[in-house]
Amino acid sequence: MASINFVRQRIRKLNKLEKKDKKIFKIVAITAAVLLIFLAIVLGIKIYLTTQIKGLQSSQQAFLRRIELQEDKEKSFILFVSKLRTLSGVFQDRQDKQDAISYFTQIFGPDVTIEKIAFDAESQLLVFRLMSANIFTLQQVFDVLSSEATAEKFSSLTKGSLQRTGKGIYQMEISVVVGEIDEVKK
Amino acid sequence: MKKKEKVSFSSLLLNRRYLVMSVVGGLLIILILFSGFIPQINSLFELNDQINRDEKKLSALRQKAVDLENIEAQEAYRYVDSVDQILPSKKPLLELLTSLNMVATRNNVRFNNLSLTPGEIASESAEFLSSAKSSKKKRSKKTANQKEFDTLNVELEISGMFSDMQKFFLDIERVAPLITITGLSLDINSDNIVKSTDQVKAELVLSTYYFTQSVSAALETSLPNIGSREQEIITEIRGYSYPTVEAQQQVMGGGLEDLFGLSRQDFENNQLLNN
Repeated sequence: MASINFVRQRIRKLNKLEKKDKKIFKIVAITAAVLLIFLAIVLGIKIYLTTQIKGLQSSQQAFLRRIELQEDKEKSFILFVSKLRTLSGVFQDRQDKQDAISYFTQIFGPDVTIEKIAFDAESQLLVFRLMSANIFTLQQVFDVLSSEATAEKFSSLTKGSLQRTGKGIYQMEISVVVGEIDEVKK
Repeated sequence: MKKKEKVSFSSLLLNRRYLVMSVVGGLLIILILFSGFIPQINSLFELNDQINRDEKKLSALRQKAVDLENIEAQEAYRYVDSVDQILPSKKPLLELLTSLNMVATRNNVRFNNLSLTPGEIASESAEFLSSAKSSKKKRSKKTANQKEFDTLNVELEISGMFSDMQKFFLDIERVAPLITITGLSLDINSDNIVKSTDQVKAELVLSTYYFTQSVSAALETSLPNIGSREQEIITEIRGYSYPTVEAQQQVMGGGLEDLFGLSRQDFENNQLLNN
């Protein structure tokens, strides 16, 4: 006659479940412990980094005080460099103008006099009024102005207002825009 | 029914306590993960970034402090006074007249006429320009003048030998303050081609420059570098002439008669102050 023991079966089942639950609990406990250890490490690193930042900030403050003590020197230097940079631009414009003047005063020779120069800084327009001793010199002037070298230097060169005085002197105006070549290069 | 539920919950606690503890532990892990661990990790990255930024800033500040301490040892900085004279921070009226006189005397050139419009005699120095922006006129001038400087124009009529005049034209652009010839007109008396010994007159328009830019710098920004172009400018201005404007040492009497015929009265000490 087979006997049915429900209590033993129940206890066996409960024991099995408990074993399984313990396994799960062990995993959870280990995970929580590892996480807490990591959290402690992270907090430790955070404290270290915060101390480092404080150290850096106090060093910064020390250097800022050192810089503040030399404020006048700094102002003077910055003003000096700003002026140099401004001069650099002014000199560049001036150099273009001077180059143009020296080019036109040298290429024509002694029989040609520049009697008038006008320069407009805004438009960089340079206007020369030339006096040429005779028609042959004037022809030379035209040749020079039409040459490749001149055209290469001053692409915007224009000639005009050609006049002849009673004594056979020829006068004419040349206008060029200076600094064009540099701008094209840029 | 209520009694039955109570019994089942207590039996759950009794029989599946490890499972319950695991669930609680799991919830705790999730809580620690989302409210503690992840934010802390993020804050570590932020701190690390901040350290990198602070180290860069510190290194820039250290460099700036060292640069400032060694600023006077820089070769270029020796010319700070020369640069100030070449491009002053105020209208260089007296300096301009002194330079013109010096160059004219040096080249035997005579002044026949001189005219200029100085405007405000003592303009603000560049450093204080920002505080002088109240006037609408000045504000418009500043916006129009984005080129960091302004010019003072002088019209001159000079006469002399043509060769001397040519030297004058070259010399005048090599003095302090910086002067540029913007207009030149030769008045040649004869209709012939001019010779170097001929007496000629010339009308000149000169522009002298003064610095008007408002300069500012943050405490933490590094010092500007002096590049090769700036070095070239320094080399260029070394060859310039720097006339000195003589300061008046004493007040000279005009030698005029005392029109009122009053004898000079001596004031007792503090009499004026007391009145």
